[in-house]
Amino acid sequence: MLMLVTIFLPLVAAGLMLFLDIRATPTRARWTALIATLATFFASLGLAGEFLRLPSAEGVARAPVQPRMELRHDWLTLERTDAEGNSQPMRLEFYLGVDGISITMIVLTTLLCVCGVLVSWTSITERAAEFFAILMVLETGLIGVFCAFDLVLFYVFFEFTLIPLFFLVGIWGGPLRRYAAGKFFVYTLAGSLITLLGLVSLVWQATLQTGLETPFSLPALSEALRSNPLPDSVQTALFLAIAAGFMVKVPLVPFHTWLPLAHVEAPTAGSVLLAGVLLKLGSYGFLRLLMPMLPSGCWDVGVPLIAVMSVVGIIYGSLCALAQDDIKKLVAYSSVAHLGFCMLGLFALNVEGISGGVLQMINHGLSTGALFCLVGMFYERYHTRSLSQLGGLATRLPRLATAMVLITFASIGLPGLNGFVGEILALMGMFDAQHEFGRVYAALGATGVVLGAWYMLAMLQTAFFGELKEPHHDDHAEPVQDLGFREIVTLAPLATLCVVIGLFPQPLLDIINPDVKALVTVLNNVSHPSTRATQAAAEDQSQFPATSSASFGIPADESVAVLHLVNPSPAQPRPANPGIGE
Amino acid sequence: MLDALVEALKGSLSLVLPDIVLLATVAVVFFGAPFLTDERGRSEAGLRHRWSWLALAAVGFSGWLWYQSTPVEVGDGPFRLDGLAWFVRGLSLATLVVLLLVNWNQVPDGASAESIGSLLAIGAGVNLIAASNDLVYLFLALELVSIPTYLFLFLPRRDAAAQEATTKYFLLSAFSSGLVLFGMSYVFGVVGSTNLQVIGQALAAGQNGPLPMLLPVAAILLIAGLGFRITAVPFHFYAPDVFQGAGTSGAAMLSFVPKVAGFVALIRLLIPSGWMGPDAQTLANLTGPTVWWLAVITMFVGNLLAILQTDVRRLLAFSSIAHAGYMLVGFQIGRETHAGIDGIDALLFYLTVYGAMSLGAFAALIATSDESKRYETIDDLGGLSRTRPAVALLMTLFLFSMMGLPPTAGFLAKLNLFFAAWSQGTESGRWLAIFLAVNAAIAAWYYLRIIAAMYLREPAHAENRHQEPAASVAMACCALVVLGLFFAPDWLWRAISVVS
Amino acid sequence: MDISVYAILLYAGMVAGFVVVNLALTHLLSPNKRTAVKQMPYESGMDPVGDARQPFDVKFYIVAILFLVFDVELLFLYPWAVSAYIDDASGVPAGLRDTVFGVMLVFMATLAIAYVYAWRKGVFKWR
Repeated sequence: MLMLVTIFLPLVAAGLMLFLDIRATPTRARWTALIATLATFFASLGLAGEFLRLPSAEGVARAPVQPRMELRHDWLTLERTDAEGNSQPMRLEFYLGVDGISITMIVLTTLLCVCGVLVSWTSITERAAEFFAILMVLETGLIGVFCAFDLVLFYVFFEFTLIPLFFLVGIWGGPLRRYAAGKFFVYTLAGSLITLLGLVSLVWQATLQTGLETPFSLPALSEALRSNPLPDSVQTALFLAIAAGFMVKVPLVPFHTWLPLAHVEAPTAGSVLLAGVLLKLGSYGFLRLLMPMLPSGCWDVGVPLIAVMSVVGIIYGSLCALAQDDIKKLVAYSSVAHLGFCMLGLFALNVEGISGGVLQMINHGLSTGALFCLVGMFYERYHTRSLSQLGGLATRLPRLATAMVLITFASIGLPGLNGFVGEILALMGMFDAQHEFGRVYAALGATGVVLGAWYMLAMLQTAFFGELKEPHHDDHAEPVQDLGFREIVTLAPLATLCVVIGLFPQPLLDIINPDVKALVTVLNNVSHPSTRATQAAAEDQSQFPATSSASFGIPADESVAVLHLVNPSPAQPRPANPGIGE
Repeated sequence: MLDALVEALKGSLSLVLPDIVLLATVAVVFFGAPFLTDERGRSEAGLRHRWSWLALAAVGFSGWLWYQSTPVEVGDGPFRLDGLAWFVRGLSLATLVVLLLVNWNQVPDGASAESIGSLLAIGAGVNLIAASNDLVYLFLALELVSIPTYLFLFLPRRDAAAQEATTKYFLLSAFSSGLVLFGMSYVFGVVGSTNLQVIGQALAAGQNGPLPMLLPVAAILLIAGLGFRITAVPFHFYAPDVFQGAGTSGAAMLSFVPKVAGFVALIRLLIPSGWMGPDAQTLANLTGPTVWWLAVITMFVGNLLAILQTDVRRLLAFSSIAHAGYMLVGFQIGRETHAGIDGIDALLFYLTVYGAMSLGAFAALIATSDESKRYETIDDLGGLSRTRPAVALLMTLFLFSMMGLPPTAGFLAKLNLFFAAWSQGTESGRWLAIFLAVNAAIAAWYYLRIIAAMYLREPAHAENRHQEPAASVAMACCALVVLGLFFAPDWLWRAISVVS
Repeated sequence: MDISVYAILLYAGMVAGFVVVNLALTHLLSPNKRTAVKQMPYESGMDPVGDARQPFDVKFYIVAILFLVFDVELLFLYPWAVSAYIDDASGVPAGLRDTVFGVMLVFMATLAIAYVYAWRKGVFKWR
């Protein structure tokens, strides 16, 4: 029930705003939106609380994709005629559910929406009611994706998010907004249609092979395909088809060209949600649809393809960011790089890697969301984002500079902040991964960390430190104000979470661990040459990292410390280093 | 034996009772019309509304009669009611209601009776096509749809553009009817009977007379003649000009009703009802890859040429050509013996959803226009979201549905077509699915252009307070169907499954 | 291939071919010297006067169409009139006579409505 409230409260609020009060003053519109998004945020916290209070499911047999709380309703029953001429049903359902990975993303989404409303407080004055309504419709779509456990429902919400974002960018965006909105829409739609074809084919093949009655339901499908996997060649083809749409969404180079354009032209709240949540839909799609259903495909074609594209993305994205003058475009390219890390971690296809990838998804949402908020606050004051016109602003705007420095370091991956935990897990996962070039990818990815530090710190130095150089702001008679109360409230939760997750990532890892382990179990069941070496090791999960990390000569207590991060078992001695603790 | 004959005759009348109600109303309308108009063709104001109310009452009564009936197979004379006839009858009655609302204020009073009478006759014709079991009656019903269409296209605006449009449609329609008749004559020549069931059984049993080579020719001719009606390429050339010239209510009718007529006639003629066995020869099987190519070319031509258009009605004409291509995909799948989702089911579902969204889009166009200014080009629609937000919102809904985007029924309809095409299991089926996806992406481009004009641009005209309540009601009904069918599609899918 | 059935197709093909070949040969082999006098329309040796196109009153056309419609109605009435009340096997069976009468009445009523419509619309006014 709380799930339905979380998903549909923003939609209801948006509907009320659109139909009752479309010509509301900006003040009324923004307060209504704030109340609605706050209510949704608290609802999602309640949902999280309910989720955490569920009895532990350790040792209970479960499908690779299994929601812990669910809500199902029949939608449409297709009929197919099978080989004997009998008519068999294929049921689509409204299948909503929540599992570990979903709940973290849902809370992230609702939090970022609150920040989005707050950051647009003063910058949106025209058609404000429509703006906030569309923002809340987007929120519904995003939360819906994370709650959908039926293939078609997932696709429905996935596509649905295109619509509000098109309007957000197209109406309230920058000078090239119409082109950006159109390109974003058609590019993403084209990718999604290829994905739809892939999904149709997947369901059909699975139905033919297993005779499922609900082949669209993710738990049923993943369970059926675990015991009865599709042939390898089919899996390869399906992987390529289904991955197409998600590759555009992640975005992976070379399908990323819509992203800088869309980010630069979008209004601030649009950028926050686009970077913070929408880009995660791509990697979430890989997690939910590709890994459980097509494990062979992931090993055969996924790892080489996606790992290479991720590494290229990390390096290329970082280099492009280095060359940017527009801060927003710089952050956009940094998104490409960071999500390259995320995908690198995911396609390590082991517990550390996937945990790192999911954690990176959350971290990137927080830090890049905060970065876009800061850029937006910047832009409101100076109406320019060009680095060549800015300098030494830390003297003028100390609070904003502090926040900027903190978030930038979180983005770079400074230990103690959240980016570090995600990146280290992803890179370690790739290092430990059971394929030939794992270490190569990890090494190349690690260079991305250096590049990331380079452009971020260069940006900080140019804009905030050094000689004071302010652009003309002719509509301000008085000097530019530092961060106000509202803006601090916007940034505080994001910054706090960055620090907290950096210091205490274990609770988050515990939440996502059951689902990640289930995925890895499916992936390891594949009789792939790379995994045969660790088949024995895979039986006993708690030994898994120790075996491989010991072979790299890492001292025993540090490997134990790493072990502790992903798999707390009371038999292991407590780590000597309390810094990386639980 | 005589009593049996009389009973059979009376029984066959009762099969078409709803259509007789409609036709009787047509007779009443045409009888009363000239007494209420003066020499110059003018009559009192508001007459068209009264005729519309009468027509609505007639359709309501006919609907009630239909509702009493069930999709039971009965009859094997010239008329035969089965699931398809029952479904199409319901669909056409619903369409008639929407079209009457769309046409509410579009015709001058002096010509309103003829216009409304024609509309009712067209509806009755569609019903009769679905109920017909005989070649001659099928042709009669096709003509009952065509001839009032010429009237209906011409009457609202009797200017040069409407004349040109009507003449084009008339000439091409007559030509295509000739092709259909020619094909039917070949079929009769081969089989020796005009009864569709007898034809189906004779073909299936392989009793093809001395000239079996005429059959593929006949099938091609039938597809060509009916292809005109469903605006398949290369029989589509009239569509943009006629949609543009004939006025919005004429275009609205033309975008949907001939498609229903054409597809139902195609199904009746080419695919015999009842399962004949996996290797039975039907007229459909003889056409080989013809329908496949027809579907593919229609989709591509419709979508690619729509990108070039600036007039909304021409754009909607090309989009309706593209949608005919999508529906031909369903038809192509349904022709073959199937192990998978039934293509004809997907076709009928898509047809219903397409009707709702197409009629809704045209109703939205009417709801925006006023006495002096009709909204014709995309630029005219600029900034509509500021001047008429409700209309712009519903138009956006219909356009998203045409694109096949959730959460509209268009998405489910396209999904069904994807499934039907893919589940056929053949290479050609899979290519159809791929082409369908490619075309959906291409189509997004021009639909998005209209939405962008409505929402992302400044208003092109001053605020227009003119209301068209009937068109708004029609628009709202269509929107309800488009949204409702997304959330609760099962009742329609059950109804369609009954058909086949 | 049964020649007797395809004979007519063959004949049609030969006719068409004959026409086409003749026209083509004429066009290709004939000299082509145009003069003003040769291009004038032929009116039995006289010089043409006036415009070949003249307005044609639509009332003729409408009356002709109406005549056609009611002539076809007559075509249906003749057989009915002859067979309706004959008592042997070639006539309408006795039990069905009333039904057939009803059907014919409906047919004629439909056409009568059309007639009244045309009358009131002023089709018969000879202007």
